[in-house]
Amino acid sequence: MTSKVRPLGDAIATHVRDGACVALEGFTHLIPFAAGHEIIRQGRRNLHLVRMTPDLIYDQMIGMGCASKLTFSWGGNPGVGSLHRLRDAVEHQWPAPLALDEHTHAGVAAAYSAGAAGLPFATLRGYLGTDLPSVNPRIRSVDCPFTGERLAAVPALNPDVTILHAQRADRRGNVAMHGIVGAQREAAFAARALIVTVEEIVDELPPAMNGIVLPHWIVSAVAPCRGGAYPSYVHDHYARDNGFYQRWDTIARERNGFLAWMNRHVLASRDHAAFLASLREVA
Amino acid sequence: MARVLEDGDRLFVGANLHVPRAGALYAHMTHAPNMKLSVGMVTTNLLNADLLEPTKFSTDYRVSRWAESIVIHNDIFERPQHCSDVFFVGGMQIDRFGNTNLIGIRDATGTLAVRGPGSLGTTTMAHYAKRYYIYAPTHSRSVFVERCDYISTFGHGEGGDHRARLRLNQFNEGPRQVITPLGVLDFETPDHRMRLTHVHPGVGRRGDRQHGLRTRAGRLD
Repeated sequence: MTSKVRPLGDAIATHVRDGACVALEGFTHLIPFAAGHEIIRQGRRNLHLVRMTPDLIYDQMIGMGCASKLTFSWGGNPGVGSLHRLRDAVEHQWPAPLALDEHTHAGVAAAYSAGAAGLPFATLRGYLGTDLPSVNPRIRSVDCPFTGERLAAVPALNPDVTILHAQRADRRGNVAMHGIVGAQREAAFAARALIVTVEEIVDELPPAMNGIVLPHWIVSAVAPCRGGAYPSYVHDHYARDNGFYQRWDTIARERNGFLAWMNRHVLASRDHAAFLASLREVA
Repeated sequence: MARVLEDGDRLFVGANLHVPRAGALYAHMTHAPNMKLSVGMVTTNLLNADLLEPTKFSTDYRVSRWAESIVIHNDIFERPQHCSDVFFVGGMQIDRFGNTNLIGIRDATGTLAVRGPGSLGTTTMAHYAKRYYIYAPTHSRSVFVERCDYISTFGHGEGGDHRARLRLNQFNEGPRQVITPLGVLDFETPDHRMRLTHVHPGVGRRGDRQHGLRTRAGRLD
């Protein structure tokens, strides 16, 4: 048996290259913050980030200059407001210009599904007459060969690497996650490489019907990382830190304050455990 | 808002739309006991829940204690069977034909100056819902514009039969009403231009003028 277990730093160094198309998925639940921080620490540049709902982790990666392009359908701090770093990059090109590839939720999900199926594009309703094709020239239209109906078409998404967080994995790399899921399965099956950070590595996964299992043959590396989704939550492990999401609005509002926070807590921390410890120092 | 909801409706209300959520719960507790609410990925009937604590984020798993069924995220946005019967759409801009904009605001040169959050599920959910309404938490000239800088959810386009020409009427025939803190507007004329139908009690003429409210919302002079 070949073990897929790797330290997070090694997994990122091996699979995430400058210029790569990278998707970090997880919808409110199971957001892979630790992996995003490791990408920032390793100084990746010119990434094409993909995420259905970019929130704090992408605000941090964009503000630290990791990205040159973003594929998304909604960008915000859920329940709080704008993503200041994302807006600064789009509106003022700071710290670098950020090209946008704008979709809808359904559009991103369908594009992942097409990518997973090896299809070149996905079709969608409801786009006709909107300005989505004008802000994203890769949204086009196609006539149904059966009915003649005009539908929107979006190209398949096949990330170079998808990164997820889950409750547990075994050493072979089978990954189990449960609770509310977003587009993780689609993003995983569409990707060329898949890194999963997990709360724990177990000898054998407990049998759980309907707990999503990503089979080891699509998994490139599993990295043990307790608390790896903080400040989002992990069902049965820890709750969401809603206060952090509110504090982020202040931290990220000004460039200098943002950089100081990132330097102190992310760059100065060797790993995620050190990051969590540094937050406890200021608490 | 509660008045437009009917008994038996299935309704998905976003966690950040506090007023529509309150309207939905009010309807549920009064004339719509058989309503099914989708709250944070859970579909449920809350009539007999003792206490409804506010959720802090849109997929708070703690609401699953009330669940009759769990909804998979992606299904909400493009499965008519899962989509809401009724849907509320918001916008940074709302134009006189009920088109809405969550993409951004242009400056005088036509370049995007204020980046909006993006369209989320509104583009497709407003298409699949049986009925949809526009909700504006503030009634102001900056929200109600002649024409949206960008359209993220199609209402009546340029008016008249624009929706029909694009064959967009499979599931609904466009936004029913616009509900604001000052009143209610609809599109029930052949050209589908927004018109004021109700002013909420207590909203006086001067307040209307201050907020640019006219019987034809297309003329906001």
